[in-house]
Amino acid sequence: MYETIYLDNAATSYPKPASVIAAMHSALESAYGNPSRGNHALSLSSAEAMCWVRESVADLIGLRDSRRIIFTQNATMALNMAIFGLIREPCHVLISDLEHNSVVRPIEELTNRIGIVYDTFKTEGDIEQNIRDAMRPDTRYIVSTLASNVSGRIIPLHVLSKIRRTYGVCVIADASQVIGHLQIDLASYPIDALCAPGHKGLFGYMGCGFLALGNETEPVPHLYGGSGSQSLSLAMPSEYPDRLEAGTLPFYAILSMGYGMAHIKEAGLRALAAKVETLTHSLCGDLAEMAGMQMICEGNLGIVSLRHVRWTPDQMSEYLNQNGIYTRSGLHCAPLAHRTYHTEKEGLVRISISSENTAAQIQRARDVIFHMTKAIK
Amino acid sequence: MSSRIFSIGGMNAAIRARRYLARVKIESEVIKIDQRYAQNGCQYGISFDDKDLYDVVRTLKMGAIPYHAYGDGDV
Repeated sequence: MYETIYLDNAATSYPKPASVIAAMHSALESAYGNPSRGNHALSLSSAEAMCWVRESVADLIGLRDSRRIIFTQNATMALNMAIFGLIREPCHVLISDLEHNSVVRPIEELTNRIGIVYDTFKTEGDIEQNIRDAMRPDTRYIVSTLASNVSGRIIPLHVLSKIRRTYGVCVIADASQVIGHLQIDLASYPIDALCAPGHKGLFGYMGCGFLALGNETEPVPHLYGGSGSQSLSLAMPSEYPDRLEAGTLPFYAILSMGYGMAHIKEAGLRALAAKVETLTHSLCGDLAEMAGMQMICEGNLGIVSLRHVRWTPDQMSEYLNQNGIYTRSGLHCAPLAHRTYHTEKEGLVRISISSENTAAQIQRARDVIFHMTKAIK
Repeated sequence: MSSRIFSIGGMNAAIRARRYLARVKIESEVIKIDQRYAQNGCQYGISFDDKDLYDVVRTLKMGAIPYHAYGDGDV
């Protein structure tokens, strides 16, 4: 009997660190009320916990004002809130050639709704120059991932921040694959909106994410409803985060994100990233020597995408699945990225590594892949 | 002890204010503002010892945390 090995951490991280699991066991046995919904002790204690998580997020990404951290269910919801809440008039928008559908679909929808026009900028080579080349006089927004979920290719925050400062455009960034892996410093490199999940690099449970807003960013609310404040007003409250957080929050998922960030703080973000980098290098070195294997791995984020001359990505992923190794094949909801890499026809098999993986697990994955390349289908 | 109440806003804002004060060792408690006096519906604030009044005011101003003195007018 073999140990199952989870290598789909770019979709959601698993397992969560032991400290997160222990803290959540304890939280589930504790009494919590609905945060910001009454002044009884249980509502207050859960609102205190939410405030702690909010401050932890702000601290992690260098945002001075934690009120401008808006909790969401995931990064997609945060991106929808930023894109639909900020882009309100016809204009030109730039997106990268690596975008996930969480960006492409809302942007495409805005072409139908309000008549925006959009183009992609290339991410190969000099990204800053590529963006400058793609800018038009009527470009008002740049919506870009900070790293591809297919290849790990990085679009540096400092480049986007510089373009924002130079051209006065509004920048919305998707940090789904870098949060918890790379240091994000919005104090040094401000942008208008940063969207991220809590259940990937931050080790929270599925159902949480956040939108971080710049000091002057004022999106129109995406959801309307109860906030626990200014209840006599028929409009959403003016104060943040209440303005953008209608309805009951996914409290336990958000709490788990807080424990995940505590784990990162304790272990050190750089130390965790270095472990992922070491595991990734060890896997890539051996895969590169396997006959018929094509590999895409950039950015040291633990993302390694593969295809093989004899095996389709779906066949490879199923072979690995039957051997207890969990990867993801297909287009990864990122058709633009696959077009960029010319892999849109069959897709790729994506292996995504976390700091919770071990060298022994990577060794076994490598051995199974090696056997697969030798096996008769 | 005599206490003061500052109305802050929503519960998120009131808790943030309490935590902000706690960082400089000022004790306060989050309270719900009496509905009869709350502007625009549910509102929360902080209650603290009167002796800390000037430290509270200074700290909240430093943190750009808006407040409204409850009962005695603006401080």
